[in-house]
Amino acid sequence: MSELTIVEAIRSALLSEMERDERVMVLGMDVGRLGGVFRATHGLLDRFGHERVVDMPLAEAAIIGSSLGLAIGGMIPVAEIQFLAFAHQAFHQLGRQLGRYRYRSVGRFHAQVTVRAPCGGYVRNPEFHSDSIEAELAHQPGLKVVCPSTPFDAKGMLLEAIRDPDPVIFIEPQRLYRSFRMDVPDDDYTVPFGKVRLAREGDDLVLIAWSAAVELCVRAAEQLSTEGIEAAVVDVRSLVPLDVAGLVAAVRPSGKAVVVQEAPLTCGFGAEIVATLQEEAFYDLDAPVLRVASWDTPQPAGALEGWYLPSLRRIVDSARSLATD
Amino acid sequence: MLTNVLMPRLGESVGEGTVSKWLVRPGDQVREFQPLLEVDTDKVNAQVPSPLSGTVRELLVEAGAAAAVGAVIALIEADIKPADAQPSSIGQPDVRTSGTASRTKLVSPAVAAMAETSGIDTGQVRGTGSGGRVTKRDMVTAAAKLAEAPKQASLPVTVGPDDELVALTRTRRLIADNMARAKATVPHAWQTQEVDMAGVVANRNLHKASFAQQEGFGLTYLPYVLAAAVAGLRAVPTVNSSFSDAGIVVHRRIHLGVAIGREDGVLVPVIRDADGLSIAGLARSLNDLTSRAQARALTADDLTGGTFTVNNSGSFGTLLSYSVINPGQAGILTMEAVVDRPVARGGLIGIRPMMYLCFSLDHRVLDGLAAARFLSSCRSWLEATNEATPIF
Repeated sequence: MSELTIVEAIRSALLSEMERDERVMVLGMDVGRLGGVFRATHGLLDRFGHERVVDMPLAEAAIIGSSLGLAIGGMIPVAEIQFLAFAHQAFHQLGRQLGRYRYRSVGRFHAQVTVRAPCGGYVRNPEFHSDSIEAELAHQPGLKVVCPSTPFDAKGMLLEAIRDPDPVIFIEPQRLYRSFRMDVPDDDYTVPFGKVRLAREGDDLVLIAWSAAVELCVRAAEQLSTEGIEAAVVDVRSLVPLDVAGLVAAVRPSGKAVVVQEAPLTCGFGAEIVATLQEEAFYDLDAPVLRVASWDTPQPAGALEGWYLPSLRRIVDSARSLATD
Repeated sequence: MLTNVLMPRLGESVGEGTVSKWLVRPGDQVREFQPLLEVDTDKVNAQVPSPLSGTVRELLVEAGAAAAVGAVIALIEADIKPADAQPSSIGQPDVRTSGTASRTKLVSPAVAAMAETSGIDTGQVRGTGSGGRVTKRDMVTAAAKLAEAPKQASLPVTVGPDDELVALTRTRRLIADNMARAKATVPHAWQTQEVDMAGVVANRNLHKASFAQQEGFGLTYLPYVLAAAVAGLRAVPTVNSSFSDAGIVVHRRIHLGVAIGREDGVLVPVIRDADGLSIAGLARSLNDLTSRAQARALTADDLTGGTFTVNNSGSFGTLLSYSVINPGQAGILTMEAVVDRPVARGGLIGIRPMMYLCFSLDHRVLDGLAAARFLSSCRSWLEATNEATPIF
């Protein structure tokens, strides 16, 4: 057992998996000599050499396209996109090629590729570095999309992703990379996809979130608790596949839920969860399922992030209005 | 919910601001970011935006007055849905509902589904949601109550064309709940003894006229029975007690509840420390409570705190009653009608004024022996009364 941050847990997963299976390799911009822009691949080049740790040019489509080719050729690539929003440059490769290859080859080729990318706001990054585009990826059939929010899940889900025979988009919460540590087993373990995690218990309502918003929701729940409102917090952590039964089970007791997402409101993944809940849990709902999201505007400059992203106050206000509805 | 509007810090070194002008008045609807007021500091003049959409409830600082940074300067009541949970879209009409509107008839899918499966009528559930709405939690609570006391659930009755449905008054509803609870939770047992009231009748006849003249109301048999009950409670203190899971709580003080019938139901006001009162004193207390009961002038204090109850159904002409124990007490004593009856005494048959004393007891607290001792003590006190017994 070691006390690790999320970025250390990711590095530990990459290291152990590359040692365990020589087909596993990493590629991306600055993953080699620099050790990754967030140091997630630090030390891998020295250990495994240029053949398995490959610095790529600033060309996201080439990173994803190469990964697919390597996978078809028998390697297990773990590609890094420096920031999730940069994946737009690779969208054809991700959605049309990577996501469809098994289907298109009638099952002959599995695209065993993991694409890692940091995501999310509150770090006052420049433009394009914070956009939460997870819904756009979840909308591409053939791609699995997971977003852990703890060091334990980061390691266990990354190992699960690398071993998954299908392509997995592994979204990392950049705000939480180094914000806290927790016990992570040194041993090999995996966290299966498609299971929600109950981050906090509470009887009055449920806050549903993924990635860094989970941590925000836990803080909101603690604040609500001082007012006598007990909010459960559910970490979705796997958008595709989605744990529909887990979500329904979490919402059923109180019949009240707020979905919190960092992405802009319209067509965010929160809408998918709300739609799923009304389909699967309509007769258990006691109030409208609310959403707290960023506004439908471009992500503003860093200084204005606090007005744009879901704030503690907005989550608390929404939850309170729902609890007393 | 009220939200405080705070005096903002308009510069690093600025400690207070002066309200130069309010742009809204109490009662005004404001939208988030709408300017509320203008503030002057020694550095800048600025407009302060509203932190939320809602209704201005109070302006706490007059125009021209200064307030410290961070001080509350106005109160705004939020709309029922926080504005920021619903980002505005172009052309989307504002459909927010007022926070004060009644929503007692509004039923959510969860509540409707629970009403269907549990058979609970949502109209009978007290809503704790906004606007009095019945929430899922209210239904869960109601269902749990129902499950706890299944005997209390009344059978559904259909109202036919020849029937009249009389709505339950508050008193009727309270009595119904109390009686159902008593019979569902207290294992009742019952005893009776027959009392020769000749001495009591003689005593009352002796004092009747002078008492009415002095006190302004008539002397009845009830104060004598109250005094007898006090004697019985002093002789068998466990009758003056309450059952609890932790044990039997024996009350040292004797507060006698007296059942008083009214057209719309029965009330049980309490004579406090009844063991400190003479027969006349009991009569006065009783007269006070009875007249105030008829005038509907009893207070909540009059109706609570009884440790034992005496019931007088004899005044309605009954000979035997099986009274229901007031929950929280260990028994109820009922005096029946005083009736002249042929009685065998010492080999002779005589006509004596006789009365049955009936005693319903909580069998968890009392057994037959203690109950009989109590009844015997009451009877002995009544039969020992004669013309010489002082009433003052």
